[in-house]
Amino acid sequence: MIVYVCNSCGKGYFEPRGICKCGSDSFREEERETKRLHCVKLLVPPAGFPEQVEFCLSSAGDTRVLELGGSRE
Amino acid sequence: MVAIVDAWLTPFGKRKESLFDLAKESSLPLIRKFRDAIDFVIISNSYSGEFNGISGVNNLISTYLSLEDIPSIRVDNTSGSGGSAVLVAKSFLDSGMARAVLVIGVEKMSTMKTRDVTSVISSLLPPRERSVGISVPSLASLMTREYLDRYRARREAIAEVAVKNHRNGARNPFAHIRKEVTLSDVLSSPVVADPLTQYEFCPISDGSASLLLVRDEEALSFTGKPVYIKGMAMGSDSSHITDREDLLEMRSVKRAGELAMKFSGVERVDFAELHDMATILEIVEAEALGLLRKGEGWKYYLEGRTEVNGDMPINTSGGLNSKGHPIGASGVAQLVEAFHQIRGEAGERQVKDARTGLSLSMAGFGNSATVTVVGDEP
Ligand SMILES: [Zn+2]
Repeated sequence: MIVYVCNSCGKGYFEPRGICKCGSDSFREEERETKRLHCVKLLVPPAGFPEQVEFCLSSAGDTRVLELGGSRE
Repeated sequence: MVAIVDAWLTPFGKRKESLFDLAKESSLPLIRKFRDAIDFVIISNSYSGEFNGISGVNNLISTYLSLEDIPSIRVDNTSGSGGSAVLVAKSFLDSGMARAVLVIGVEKMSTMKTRDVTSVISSLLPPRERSVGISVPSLASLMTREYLDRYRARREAIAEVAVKNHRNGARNPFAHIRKEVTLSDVLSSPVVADPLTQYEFCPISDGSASLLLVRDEEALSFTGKPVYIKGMAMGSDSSHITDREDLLEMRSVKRAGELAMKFSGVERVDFAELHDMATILEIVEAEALGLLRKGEGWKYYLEGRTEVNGDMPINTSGGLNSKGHPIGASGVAQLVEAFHQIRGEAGERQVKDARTGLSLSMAGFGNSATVTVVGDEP
């Protein structure tokens, strides 16, 4: 899972930002392992997605991320 | 200080009328009485472009109402538009920019199918989070899982929010769903976002609500029973759900609530209208606002304490859950309910001796929140 990490303060973000909370605008991409916290099956997803979507709120180090659920095979 | 001197709304639901006629229906009683006094019009509306193919909606509506000589603006803050619009109206009155502001909240959503509406509303989520397929309802499910786990809360307590709000909605002639439901009905209705079911989410509604606001020193020349805005504040949080360190900390709600209560000088309100887009939100918001004890809010629902005759009545109108959630109208309609409660005009839903109340108008999933504390005295 790619996380955007601030080159100045080291804070990680799932969703890219233009400016970090510390004021820096320089980020690097970092590949991290994830650990699932909670998963949800959505049976009425937004138009344009499959009939059923499963996604998980996971942690990637100290950063929270969203990823598709289901088997990791 | 500012007072609400008149208020009205349309029945919410799937309505055949246009956006313009809905706006007319809620504002006509106010315009008939106070046309000459109104010197600013604020339209609370979020999705006229997406749902109705209309831009410049404030001027189109004010012209339809023959108020085109009066300056107007549109306030859009997604689901929290209504609270934001009233905050702007209050600021105009406090600053002397205006003397009588007509706020019209309106939305016509039934032009689209459910999954298309979900797609439009999900556009408030940031692109990478959205790409997973999440929607605002599914965030409520994540919150539910976290709440049940952390506080060892009972699943049926969450569903009891819907039972209570449908009971109140059944007594509200303006509610979208006027039908009582049982706990079993709620738990056995189709799952929308596991574990939350259809009855635990607000329906897709059309509707409009209007308020007339004036400065407090002029209020008695409009009505013998003004309802005063005693405190009002807004809080903000990240629009990225992955930035929230704790899903159960609704920081925008907590901040807005603390400030609004402080400004109001009120220690405890007699009732509250909250943003129950999903059942779990009502509980977590009530805890963030200090209305219910943190981590124990669910227990109040098992004990009936949030009912109209309970010690902390919540969503006497039926809430978004039963009354409906026409986005731009919702926050305005919450204050219409508060107006009627404080004046003792809420009929079967009347809270005994209601002298102060609170409304929470919330954008997104707590992206921002506006809290208004009202009362029968300045
Ligand atoms: Zn930084």
